[in-house]
Amino acid sequence: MSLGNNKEALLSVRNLNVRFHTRNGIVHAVNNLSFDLNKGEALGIVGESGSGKSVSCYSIMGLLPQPPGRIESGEAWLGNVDLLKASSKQLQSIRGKRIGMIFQDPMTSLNPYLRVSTQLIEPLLIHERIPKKEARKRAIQALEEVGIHDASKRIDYYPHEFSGGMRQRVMIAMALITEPEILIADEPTTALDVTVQAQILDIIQTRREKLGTAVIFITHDLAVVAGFCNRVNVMYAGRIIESAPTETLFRTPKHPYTRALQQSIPALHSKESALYTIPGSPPNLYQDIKGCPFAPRCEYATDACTTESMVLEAVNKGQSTACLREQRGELS
Amino acid sequence: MFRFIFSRLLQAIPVLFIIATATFFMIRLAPGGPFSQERQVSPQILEKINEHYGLNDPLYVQYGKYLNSLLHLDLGPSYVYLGRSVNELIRESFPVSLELGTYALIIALLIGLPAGILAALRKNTLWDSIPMAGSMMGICLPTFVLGPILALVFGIYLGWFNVTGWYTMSDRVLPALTLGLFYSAYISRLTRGGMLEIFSKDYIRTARAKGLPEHKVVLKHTLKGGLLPVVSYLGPATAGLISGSFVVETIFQIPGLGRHFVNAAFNRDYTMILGTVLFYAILIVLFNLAVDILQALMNPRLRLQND
Amino acid sequence: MAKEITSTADLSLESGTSLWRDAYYRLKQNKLALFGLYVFVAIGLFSLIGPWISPHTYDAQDLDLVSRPPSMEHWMGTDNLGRDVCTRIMYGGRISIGVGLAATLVSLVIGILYGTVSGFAGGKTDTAMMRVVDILYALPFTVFVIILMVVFGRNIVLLFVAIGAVEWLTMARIVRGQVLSLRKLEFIEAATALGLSRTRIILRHIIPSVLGPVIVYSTLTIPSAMLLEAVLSFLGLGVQPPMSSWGLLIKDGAEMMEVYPWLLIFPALFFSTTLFSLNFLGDGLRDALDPQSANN
Repeated sequence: MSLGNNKEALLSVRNLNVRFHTRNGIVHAVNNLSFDLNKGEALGIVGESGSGKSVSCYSIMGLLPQPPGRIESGEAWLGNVDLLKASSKQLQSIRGKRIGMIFQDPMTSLNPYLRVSTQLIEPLLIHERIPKKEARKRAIQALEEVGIHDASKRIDYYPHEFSGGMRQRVMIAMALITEPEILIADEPTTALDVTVQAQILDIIQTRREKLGTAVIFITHDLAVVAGFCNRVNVMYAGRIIESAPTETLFRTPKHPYTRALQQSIPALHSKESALYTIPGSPPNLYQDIKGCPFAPRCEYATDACTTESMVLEAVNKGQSTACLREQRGELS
Repeated sequence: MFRFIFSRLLQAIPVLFIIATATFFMIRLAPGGPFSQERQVSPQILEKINEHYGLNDPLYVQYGKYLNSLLHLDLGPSYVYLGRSVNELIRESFPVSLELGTYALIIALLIGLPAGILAALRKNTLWDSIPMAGSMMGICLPTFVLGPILALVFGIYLGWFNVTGWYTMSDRVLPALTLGLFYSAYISRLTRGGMLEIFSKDYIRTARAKGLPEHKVVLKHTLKGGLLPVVSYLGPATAGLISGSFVVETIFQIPGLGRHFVNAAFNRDYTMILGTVLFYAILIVLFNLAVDILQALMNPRLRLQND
Repeated sequence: MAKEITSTADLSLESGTSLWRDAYYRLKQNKLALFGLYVFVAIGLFSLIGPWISPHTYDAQDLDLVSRPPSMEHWMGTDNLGRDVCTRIMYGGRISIGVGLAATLVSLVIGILYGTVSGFAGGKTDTAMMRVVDILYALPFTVFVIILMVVFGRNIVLLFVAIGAVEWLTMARIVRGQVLSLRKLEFIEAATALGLSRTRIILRHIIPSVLGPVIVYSTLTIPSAMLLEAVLSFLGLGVQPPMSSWGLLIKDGAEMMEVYPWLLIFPALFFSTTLFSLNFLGDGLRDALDPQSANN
């Protein structure tokens, strides 16, 4: 990857390779992944199931179950710490303090046996060593800031006493309570109703603006990314196939897959009666694919696409694509 | 909470009633009475004895009389230990079983819980396979096999303990160990299973994502949920332990409630059988209740369903 | 995450293995379970065929050779009536394993019937039926079996009926659970939509899915039933002499163990090994048919 090691970026991932060693074979989940996250930036990572978007972030956090998963190679620089080589102690002091994370399913992500108050003050007790009373005050404040009313009473509730949307707000409060530099949000709205989705996005946005947190927003939904992120990385088969500022990505996508994704969004005013689906089947991750993994499904594919190795290259300011033909200007 | 306890106790009454009735009639169905076998008595004397104990009355009369005495908490006279009441016999032998059961429970928990937790933490390593193999052996070596073997090795070959009797403290060791090891096998498996189940949950991932050190993740977040299966198992298991293991008491000649029950069953001591069964049933009801309360304390989700 | 990966893998439909073939493959890889299977079969054959091959019969008394330790003549020694211990263990095996199998069968039949009816009926009937199971579950069963044996005499047929009557509860619960989850699955609706009759649905679709857990728990019920029989025999309430079961042999052995330990050790060895092997096999079957439970 020709990005070099960007010292100015907040988080710098280089050549990350993650494999899963399963009974049925080796799954190449993440292949030579490199990207940067800048201070205060909202980066969207978009891809379908199996694209490696979640796995890459879990690897960075050290949350990957190491058998069967294995980080084969790569670096992930947070300042001058390589997260992939850090000791578990180092990682523990970074997780929850410098990097916060929220997950997809608020129903299962909170411990049902402990009160919200207990769970909410934990990061404070561990990372900031403040007395419980003070932690509790801050926790109540955190709940109010995510829009939970009557926080001083409801903080002592158990998770099952909250609705799904409320629980996700609790998760957000919990992840941001230590004011981390980065928030990784793994599909935070996927399990929620559409109306609640908008509220949650709003809350993340507000908190982000107030705290200046950088956000990695993982999703399979391009539409969600549109209103929220500064920049988007589109992933396919464990690789980034396009990276661009949001508006540019939507206006002038430079990869057939990105275009296909956009076409798949059912638009209200569409005159087409049939829904567009991307032809072909998802990539077989048991193979170490040479060349472009999207080629079998791509209408523009040539022989060169399958034989030449895939490289992410800038095609204009801020926008990079891995499509060979786009790089050569053959498709625009 | 009190409403909960009260309603459960109330529910227990019909259950006990059914048990008493069912047992009563089942025993009566058995051919021959308590006084008709193995005793060299003439028919006239037999008749007199039966008369004395009311065994010639029609069945429903006997039943009615029995229910009446139950309401007075009188379990009746023993038909085998003539002149002694069932209440007395239970009062005498239960403390023995209680003591044995308590020791066994402590041993079972002291061995089983740590073994199970360790196995779960170090899954698929030697720390996992050895305790689990051990627990498998515990399950497959039932008390009537383990007991004699322990007695053979430690009692006879090594001569450390007496093989029978319940006199000195050292007499307690082998029976408690036999019983305790057997239950520890189940406890360790359940603990391991429960802990592993929790480990795979999403909220454990959340806890790690918050930067919690691993020992906190285990102690604070996993234990509560992980121990739930053990707690539900312990309800009926404790009742069983405390009311006397028939087998262990028989092997080691311990004068506990279990042995009385087996003898009663053999000798058709109706009242004794009924009395022990009812006593046992009450214990189970109480222990199940205790376990349910414990579970409600451990699992807040259950509390909503309590009224 | 890992779930993502496996779903993509599942999409590779090239091999198209059925559930059974998959399970068979997984089982074959489980060395422990296979070991259990072989051992059990070996012991089973030993018990079944042994007596025909053995030069002794199980009741032939030789009062000159009372209570002898293992020798060339009698590989496992003789008992207090001069009978060959090895042959008695073979016969004992027939009875013990036989009772175990029969009791399991009884519990299977009752359990499957009860569970299917309850699951299919649904609603209040189901709740009521399950409440009964819950209550029965909490009762002291060993006690009741003992009472039953006292009441009805020490008949061997009653023995395994009694034991089966105790073991059916878990089976019923499992079957009902399966039926319930199957009812919700869409393929039942699809089949109904295609116009298949109810019986057809039951036979072709439901039974194969229920079969899996049923097989697993049957394999695990057999040792449980054998244990119950052994306890009863040990207490004198089960199998009666001159028939013998491993439980009885262990009881006799225990009484004499101070002087003639082989009378205890050999039957105990066979008994425990059988339980062991069946448990390993059962666990292996469970892992093979439901790989997610392998996490436990």
